[in-house]
Amino acid sequence: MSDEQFEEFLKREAQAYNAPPAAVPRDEMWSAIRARRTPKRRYGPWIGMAATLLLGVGIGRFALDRDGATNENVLATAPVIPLATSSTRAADSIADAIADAVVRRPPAPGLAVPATGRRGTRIAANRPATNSDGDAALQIMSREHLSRAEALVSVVAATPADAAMDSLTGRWARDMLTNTRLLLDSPAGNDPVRRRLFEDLETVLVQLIQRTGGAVDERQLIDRTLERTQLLTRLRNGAAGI
Amino acid sequence: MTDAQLIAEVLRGDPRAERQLYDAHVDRIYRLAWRMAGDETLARDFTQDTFIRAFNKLADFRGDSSLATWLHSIASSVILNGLKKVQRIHGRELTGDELPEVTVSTREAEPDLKLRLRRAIEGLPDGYRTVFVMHDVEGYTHEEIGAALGIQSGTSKAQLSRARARLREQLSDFAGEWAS
Repeated sequence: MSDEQFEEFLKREAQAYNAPPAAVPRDEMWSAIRARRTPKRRYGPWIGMAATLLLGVGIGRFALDRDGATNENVLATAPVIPLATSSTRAADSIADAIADAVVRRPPAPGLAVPATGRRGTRIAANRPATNSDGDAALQIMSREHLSRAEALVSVVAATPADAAMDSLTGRWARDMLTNTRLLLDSPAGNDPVRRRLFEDLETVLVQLIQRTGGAVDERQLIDRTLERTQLLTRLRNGAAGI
Repeated sequence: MTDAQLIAEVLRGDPRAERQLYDAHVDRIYRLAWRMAGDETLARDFTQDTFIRAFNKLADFRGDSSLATWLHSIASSVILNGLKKVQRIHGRELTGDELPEVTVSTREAEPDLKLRLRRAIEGLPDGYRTVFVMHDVEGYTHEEIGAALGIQSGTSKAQLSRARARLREQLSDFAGEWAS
């Protein structure tokens, strides 16, 4: 049996392979395309880009504008709040820290103050709380919150570009949004630089939530912004610097 | 209207130009999506995703290739990534039993042979199957395939040759029938 005969057979019979219908549903597909592109037009691509860019800039500025306090100084005076293992606990921790900062009450039982700033060396916190205690707690919560934001952006960036964002990621973004708004309404939001940072983060989170299970094209805007602004790298640097 | 003029109109926000661009290319892209996916819903989704992505990236189109080639490179990416996602979701490859019935044939082959051929094509690695479908089924040239898939035309030829060899091997027990 010659190759020519086989190729002839293939070309003839392969025409039946997944044969498409003669009529292409042009109008139906066009309607769907128009419908899916409408939300993007309403908000405009530059909104998302600008928001993520500002987020990166804000984090950088916030890290640089700290009152000259080093991480060691902050840790030496701050109550250490356990890392939350769930979003609910994260929200509770942030709420506790906010309450501490607002009413200047002593740290809640179970919270410890590091004696020297070194990991693993902690003593009980039974001294009166000062203003700096609450500020430091909020600073720690802010840093942790931004670290989680970095993790979320990492997950989004690692997701295939054409994949719809899954509901789990959307829920994650929603929880982050709750905490972001808590921090915005707290004394942590009084600082104009920090407030701008949280507002920008809030905008990005809202965008992520809006595109949960939605159009693939929205994702391209986020990807392009991440690439142009190197946002992930800056988030890592920014969160580590607070 | 040339491609460049059409693109300029689209970028100016002219909805009629958008539709004109879509009408000029949708049939071929839809056919390719259908051939690769074997499913109407997926074919529609892939076609829509292709044009949505194309309209969003149109400002970045530099004209290094023709608009059709550029659209097909987007379509290939959308289709192949989409099929991978579908396979991940289902955790398995589509089987021949789930494929739509064959409706077009200029010269009838034995039903068993046709079924075996479909299954053999389905069983090809993605790269081989894509090149085979584009060339032997849809009639794309190796240059078009290379541009769409981001490979050399020589690579396309080599993959087609391997695809045919594998199909011939799969159908070796039907050797007498395809020659008849």
